[in-house]
Amino acid sequence: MTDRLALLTLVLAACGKREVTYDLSREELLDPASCAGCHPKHFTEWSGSMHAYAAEDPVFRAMNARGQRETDGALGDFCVQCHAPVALQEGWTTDGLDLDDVPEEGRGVTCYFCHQVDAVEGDHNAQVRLADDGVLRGPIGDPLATTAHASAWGIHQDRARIESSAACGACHDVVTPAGVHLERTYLEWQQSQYSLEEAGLQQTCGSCHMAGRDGLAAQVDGAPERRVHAHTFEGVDLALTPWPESATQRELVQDALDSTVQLQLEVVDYGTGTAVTVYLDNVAAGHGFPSGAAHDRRVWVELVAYEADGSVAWSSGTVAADTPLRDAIEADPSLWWLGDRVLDADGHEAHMFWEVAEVESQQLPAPSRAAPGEPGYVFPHQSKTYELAGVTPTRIAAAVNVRALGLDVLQSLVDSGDLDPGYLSEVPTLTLEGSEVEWGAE
Amino acid sequence: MPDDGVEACSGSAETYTAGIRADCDTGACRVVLLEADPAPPDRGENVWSLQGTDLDGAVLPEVHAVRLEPVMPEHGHGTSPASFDATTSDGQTWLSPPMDLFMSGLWEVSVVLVDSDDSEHTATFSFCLEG
Repeated sequence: MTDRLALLTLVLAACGKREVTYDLSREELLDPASCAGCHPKHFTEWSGSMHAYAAEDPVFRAMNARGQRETDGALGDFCVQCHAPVALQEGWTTDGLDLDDVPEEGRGVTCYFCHQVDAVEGDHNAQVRLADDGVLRGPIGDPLATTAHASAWGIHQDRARIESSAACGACHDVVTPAGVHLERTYLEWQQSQYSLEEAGLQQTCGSCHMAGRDGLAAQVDGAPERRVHAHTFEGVDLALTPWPESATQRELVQDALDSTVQLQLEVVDYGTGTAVTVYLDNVAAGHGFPSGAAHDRRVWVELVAYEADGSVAWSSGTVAADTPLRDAIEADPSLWWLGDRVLDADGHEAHMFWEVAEVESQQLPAPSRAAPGEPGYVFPHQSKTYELAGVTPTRIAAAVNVRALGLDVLQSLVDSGDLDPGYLSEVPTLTLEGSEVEWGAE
Repeated sequence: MPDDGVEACSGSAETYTAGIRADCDTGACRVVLLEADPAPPDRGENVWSLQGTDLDGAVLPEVHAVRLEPVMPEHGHGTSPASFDATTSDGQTWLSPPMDLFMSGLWEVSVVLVDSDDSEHTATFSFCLEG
């Protein structure tokens, strides 16, 4: 359609004479590649994100395959409702076992999916309503008229609005078919001070995971500079296979994690040994830490005490890159780990979400929404004292380490034949820079 | 047009301009924020160029160290590390290392001037980071 013709249709529509038509068909709007022409930076950022990767992730695919098999297909669309929601909507898949046959535009959490949300009908398991009306919703109150597609402000797409978090929360809380509230990121945020609709406190999901910048919302003539936001959605997960923008995404994830947890040391020399207390504060996650699949995350404190000659006098949490944390815990009873421990109906530790009957949480809570003394208040500091019997160190170093996925979880998927063992070496251990603290005797 | 939603800060922030000044708590000096990068301050790494002056604007020659301590008073936390030591090449203009102001909202950055006798003078800048 020429610009002149498009303008004519818009003018006529404004006069109520004729229905508006736009350049992009519904099929084209479904395809993220259609967005790249006018929104190249947004597209590039999204293409490297875990939203784009959601249906490609080999661990997701392995877990879905095993889950479908072990539940005789009862899982159904449980996984793909969030990992490939457009494919599910379009009928391109029903259970995610055939994702290689699904058109690329249906894989992952796509532009069309988020920008079509016009209602949030629940707080978990993808309970959003898609308008599917071709109107692309965003945070801009006065979107530039374009011939490409209809545009409108959407409360669920505006990261300044608390309602935008509800849209994220619809997929970032997961209740299993057994009724276990397994992933609770949205709930954790709701219980934090950052969910208060108060000036100076409110931090929506987009406040942190979609950093703002001044720029163009669309690379088209006449587009004004706006306050726009990134579509990188950095959290903790990283692509395990070659993927666009992977170096950038890793840097963003590291930056985001670096400021999340603050650590303090208190060291007491009691003559025949040393008591070292580590205090942890989750200052910036905005939800529990770790979060999401907290039962699959592996987060722990590394504490090393040194003699004057630099030799290690005592340590806890020094875990080799290829050692599952669960194995390290067995060998190191004082190791302080954070996350969820999940149990099956018989009280045994579970690995797979469909087996889970009970969750024991050992997360770092976000600063509480409730004030001290009010119901629901959670003391934000957590601490652990290490007894270093017979040790008087001259230097102590501590830090918090993160693996997005436990090697024991991956090994279980390898053992079941659902995951290539090569992925075991692809999960990095990240050290949170803001948690790195040293103490010296002088 | 929808309204702007909840404000990022409660209203006690200053508007950044190059050369903005803040008085020391001792009443004996001022700190001039010559330049901020990014300008205005924004979420992420921020580098500030600073001078300590007397109340008439003359640069203080006796400043031996400059320390910056950012906190988010409404959130109840600071940064890690908690403070950043500025450096100088001419003894007059001090440059902060990159300070990661990692959340949007109100940040108060206390600039501590340390005299040769270790006495300290603190001036505070408050900016609302849009994020």
